[in-house]
Amino acid sequence: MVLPSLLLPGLAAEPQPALEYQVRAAFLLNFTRFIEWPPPAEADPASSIAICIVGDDPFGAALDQIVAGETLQGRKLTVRRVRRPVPSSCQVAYISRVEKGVDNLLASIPPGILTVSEGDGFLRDGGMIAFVLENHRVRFDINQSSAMKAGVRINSKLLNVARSVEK
Amino acid sequence: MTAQAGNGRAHVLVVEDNPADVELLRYALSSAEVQCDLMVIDNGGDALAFFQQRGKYSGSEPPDLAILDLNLPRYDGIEILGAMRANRAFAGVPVAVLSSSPSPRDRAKIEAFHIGRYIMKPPNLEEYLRIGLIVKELLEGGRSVS
Amino acid sequence: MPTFRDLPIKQKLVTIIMVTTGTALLLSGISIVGLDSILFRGYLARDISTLARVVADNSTAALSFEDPASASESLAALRARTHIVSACIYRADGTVLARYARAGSVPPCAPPGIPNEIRFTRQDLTATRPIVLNGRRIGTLALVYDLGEIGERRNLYGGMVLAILFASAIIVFFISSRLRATIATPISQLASATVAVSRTRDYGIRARKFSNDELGLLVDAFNEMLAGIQFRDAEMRSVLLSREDALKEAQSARDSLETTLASIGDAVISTDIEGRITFANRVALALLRWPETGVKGKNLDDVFNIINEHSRAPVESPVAKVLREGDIVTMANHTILIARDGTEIPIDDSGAPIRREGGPTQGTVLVFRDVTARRRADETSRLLASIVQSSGDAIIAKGLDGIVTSWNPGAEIMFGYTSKEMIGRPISLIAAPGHEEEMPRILDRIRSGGRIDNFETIRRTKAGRLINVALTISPLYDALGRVVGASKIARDITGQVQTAAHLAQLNADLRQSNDDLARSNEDLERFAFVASHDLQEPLRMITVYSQLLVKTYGSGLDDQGEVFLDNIVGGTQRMRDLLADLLAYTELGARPGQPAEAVDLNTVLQKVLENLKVSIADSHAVVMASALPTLEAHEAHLIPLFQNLIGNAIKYRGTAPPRIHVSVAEADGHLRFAVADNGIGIEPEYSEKIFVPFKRLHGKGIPGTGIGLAICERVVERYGGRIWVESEPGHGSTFLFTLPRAVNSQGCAPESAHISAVKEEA
Repeated sequence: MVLPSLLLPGLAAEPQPALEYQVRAAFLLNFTRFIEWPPPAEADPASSIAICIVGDDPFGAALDQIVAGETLQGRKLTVRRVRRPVPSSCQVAYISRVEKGVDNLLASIPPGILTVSEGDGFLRDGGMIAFVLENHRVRFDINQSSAMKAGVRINSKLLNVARSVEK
Repeated sequence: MTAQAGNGRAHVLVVEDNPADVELLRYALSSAEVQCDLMVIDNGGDALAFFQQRGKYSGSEPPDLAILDLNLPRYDGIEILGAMRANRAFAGVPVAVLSSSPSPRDRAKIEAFHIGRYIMKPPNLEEYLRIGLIVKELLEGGRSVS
Repeated sequence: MPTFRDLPIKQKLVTIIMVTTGTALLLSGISIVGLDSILFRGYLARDISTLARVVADNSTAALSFEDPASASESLAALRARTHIVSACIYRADGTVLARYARAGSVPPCAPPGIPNEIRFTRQDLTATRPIVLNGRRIGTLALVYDLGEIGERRNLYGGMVLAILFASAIIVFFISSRLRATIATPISQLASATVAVSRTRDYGIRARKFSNDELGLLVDAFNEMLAGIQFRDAEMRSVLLSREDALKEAQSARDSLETTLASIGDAVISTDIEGRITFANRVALALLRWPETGVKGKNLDDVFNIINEHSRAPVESPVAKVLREGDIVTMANHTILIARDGTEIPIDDSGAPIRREGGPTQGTVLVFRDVTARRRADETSRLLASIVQSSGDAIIAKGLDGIVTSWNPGAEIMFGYTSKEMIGRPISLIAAPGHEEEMPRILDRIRSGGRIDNFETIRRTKAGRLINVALTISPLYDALGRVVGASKIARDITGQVQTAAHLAQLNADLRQSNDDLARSNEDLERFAFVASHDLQEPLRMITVYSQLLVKTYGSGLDDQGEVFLDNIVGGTQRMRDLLADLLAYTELGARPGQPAEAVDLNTVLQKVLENLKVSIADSHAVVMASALPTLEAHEAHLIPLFQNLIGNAIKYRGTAPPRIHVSVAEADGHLRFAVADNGIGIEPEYSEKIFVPFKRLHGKGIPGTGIGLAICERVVERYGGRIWVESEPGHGSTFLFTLPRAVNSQGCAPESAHISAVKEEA
């Protein structure tokens, strides 16, 4: 695991923008470890778990580098860049900060997909996890009710680590 | 018989049944020069009557001395002595008892009456004469008292 | 100090139980504590491991998202476990993400060692646990656990074990104290029984059984053993006793054999095979007239000479015959032994060989006896038979059934039956009518060995005449001493009986006249008393008037008249003395008088001498007296006693002045007084008569009433004594009398007290 070693200097110093997205990419990958998706999404054990980036991609190659070779319960993790509407084959939908009509977008997203974005309004609009910067550190908030509505169960350990949790 | 007090002779009563003894007594008294009138009663019945002042002796007067033989026929000397002592008129009369009885028992009985003398009847003349002296002594003792 | 080995069983039991229980409890306690600490380590390892896993698991998110605060929170939950000293969460690269320390101390959080390890050190337990997410190790957790808890537990458990041990010990002590009795009591009973047995050697003692366990078995076995010992002991004793008895018996048999031989009534001589004497007992020596030392080794024939009584020819000694014939021989009668000194002794003799059973003859034994006595007895019985035959008395023998077996000529004459008629017939033939019962009674008495002497009864003769007989009947014995019959000697006492009846009549007459005499004697005494009393009166008159006559007319009388008057006076004087003595004498006999009192005889003597003053002076008499005792008596009796005796001694004096000695001595429990004089004495033939009243030996020459000694006798007899005289005519008399010893005699008054009244002789 290389992520912690990458992260450590970042935690010690002011994170660089690029470095910040590297951390977000690692977080994104790590989210998958604490999420239980509803059964249809796991119907095919051979099928990969897709982290879909909707719209603008802030990660560059960072996400791909991190996810490359990672598995989750025997299923391969993949990164997909998708347009609106978000396909139901995605398990995670990262919605870029710059995307407009997020609330409409969220409403159109099928259940069973973990939605992640950044900014305070995301969770109000019905998003599930939103990255925030606190004291130059990357943190995240969680809207658990949204996740539950979508049939996505968030591990309590993840809830413990979140900055705040809306229920 | 009454005592003649005036002539100074003493009156002596002798109760003795044996006249020979009375005669000897007279002889002894005269030998001792005792001046007295002797009145003799020779039986127990008369002696009792005299001391109880009965019958012919109803007017009897106490003698100065009475000499009694207590061995009288039919009468007990003690009885006579008792009668005499019982009568107040005779109670003070001095008594000399003459006796032939050596019995200590009789003697003890008599001594209960506190009489003046107890004289054994003498076995010979010499001693008989001494009775006169004893009587004289008794009479003189009696007078000095009265 | 006693060792455990010497402790009494009950203490031992308690000790054993206590030690055992204590050890068991202690071991269990130690085991539990030890095991617990081991188990607890395991448990602790698992527990801490689990705890580490949980914490690690909970830390995954914090580690994943680089959240030290959340990680610290996770670690803070360890506060609940006070023994967690510190906890550290390391990132994968070994840097520390979060740390926790008890009570605020700063944990060292040294770099993690081998992950997934549980390591115990002395003080603590370190658990290292990898933090894994999705199969990948993302960090490490290290926990340090303080092992003080183990010590605490050990202390707690150890304390509990000790407390339980202590409590158990107390309870066990009480229980064992109760329980030990069930074992210790029977054992101590057994022990005391053992001690009792060994001390008293009484194997009859038995131990008491309390239970049916092994102790009961032990008691049973012990008792059985005792019974065995007792039996054996008794057996041994009886064997010992019987052996001792047998020994004693053998000894006594030997002794008695020897004694028998030595003291046997028969003479015994033994010889060797050559006929030489080896032994002769005392009887033999005495018969042979040989001293003991002389006979041994002598040839028997030299000592034992026997001849035939009739032929006087020598007889072969039985020893020679025995040696020849080898068998027991008995000599014929009529053998005479000629002793060493020539004495001829008729003997019976016999000889026998001495040999062991079946063995050869070793010698002989000769037994003989002096039959002189038997010869004499034979003669005596012949004599007796002839006496019986010639006796005038009837001598009859009969069996116990009353059948006559012998009837002598005397019986034939007395009863008229011949012996032919009577022998074989019952003795009751001669029973007199009314006397039939006697004979069976007599036979009963004889049967029981009694005899009858001079039994006077009546028997009937053949002619029917009744005769008085005196019977002497004795039992007849057979050789074994059994009564088989009776011998009866009957004597005709018909004449005697008549004489006796006559005598009885005479006797009765005599008693009658005796009674009459006693009665008249009493009358006489009464008369004498009255007479002597009443006669005194007229006598006094005669005396006094005679004296008066002399006094008054004496001068008028001529010589003869004076003699007459003197005679009258003298006669009356004498009569008066007589009457006074008679009165005294009769009074002594008549009245019992007043009770006796202590009378000092010295005083009595004084008074007597005073009374006799004139005659003592006239006769120049000397009266001496030893000290006299005090008696329980009447003075009125003792004065005349002494006065008469001393007066007599003066009166019956010889030519010399009287010397009179009064003495007293003890004799046979009495006091024996003696009044001795040197007077004229008394002829022996008068020594009794002088005590009879009015018996005088002398005429008017010596005045006296004749009653003095009679009075003395009466006085002495009144006190149970007696009086007598010992005299030698011409030399003096000694009057002796006895009186009972003084009851309260206080010894004697000084002799000088009354001797002063008389002339001192010395």
